[in-house]
Amino acid sequence: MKSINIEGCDNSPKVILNFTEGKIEITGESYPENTFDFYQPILTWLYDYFNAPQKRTIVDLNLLYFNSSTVQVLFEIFDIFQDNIGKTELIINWYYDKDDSDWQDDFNYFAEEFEMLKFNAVGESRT
Amino acid sequence: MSSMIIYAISNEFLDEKSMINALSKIKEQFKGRLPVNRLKVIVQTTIELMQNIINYSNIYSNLKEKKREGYGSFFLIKKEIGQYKIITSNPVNHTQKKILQERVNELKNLDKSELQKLLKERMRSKKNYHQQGAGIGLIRIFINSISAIKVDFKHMNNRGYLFTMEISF
Repeated sequence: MKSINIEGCDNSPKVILNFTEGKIEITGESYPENTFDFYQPILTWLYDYFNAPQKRTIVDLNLLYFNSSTVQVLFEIFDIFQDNIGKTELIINWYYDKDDSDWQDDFNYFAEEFEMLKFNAVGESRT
Repeated sequence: MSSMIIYAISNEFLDEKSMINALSKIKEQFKGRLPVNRLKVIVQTTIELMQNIINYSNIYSNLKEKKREGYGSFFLIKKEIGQYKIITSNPVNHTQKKILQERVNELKNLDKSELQKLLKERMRSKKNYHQQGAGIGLIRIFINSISAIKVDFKHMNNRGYLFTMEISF
C-alpha cells in the first residue's frame, strides 16, 4: 500500500499517511476551497488501510484553524476509526495550544461523540 | 459609542487567494494583542463568513476548476468598548435569502446549550455532506457571538438583496 505525503499550505494541512509505520498525521490549518475534494483521497486511503492495518496505528491531529466542512470530514475519519476498533492498537493524539483556554470545546465534541475511541489531549506551546 | 476599525476589506470579487491574504493580515494585526481563544474565534468566524460569501455570492464561477469568486462583498472588524464586532455584507438572490432567513430564524431563539446540541446533531448528520458544510458554519458563528446577531436583508433590485450580518465577540 502506498504512503501519501501532502505538503501543507496556507489553507490546507500537511498530511502524512504512512502505511509501513502505521502513522496518520494531519497538521496545520484546514479550510481548503474544496474541502471534500481535498480530503477524499485521505478518506479512501484510510478505508484501504483498515483492511489490513499495522499492529499499532498512531494518529497525530494538530489543527490550528478549521472550517465547518473539515469538522464533518473529521467526523467521517473518526467513524472509520471507530468502525475498525480491535483491528489495531489505535492511539489518537489531539494537539492543542496550551494558551487556548477554550481548547476543550472542539476536543469534547469528538471525545464525547466517539466514546469508544481513546483520545490523548496533548498541550503544546505555539507561541 | 467610540469604536476603532481594526480591519476592513471591500472586494469587487472575493476569492480564495484574497481570503487567505485577509486572514494573514487579521492574524498579524491581533498577534499578541488578544488571548488565543478570542483570536481563534475571530479567525474561524472570518473563515466561515468569507467562505460563505465565496460559495453563495458568486456569479463568475469556474465550475470545471471549482474556483469560486464572491462579488460585491464588504467585511469589517471593529473594536468597541469591551468587545469586537465583525460586520459583513454581500449580495444574495431570492432563493439564498429564503434559505438564510430560515436558518437564521431557526437559530436566533436558541440558547447556547441548544445551539451546541444542534451543532452536534448537524456534525453527525451526513445530510448535505457535500453541500458546503450543512449550515454548521452558521451555528458555530451563533455560538461564538456574545450578543444577539443582527441580520438584515436590504432590497437592492429585482435580482436580490444585500445581506448584512453583525457579530460580537
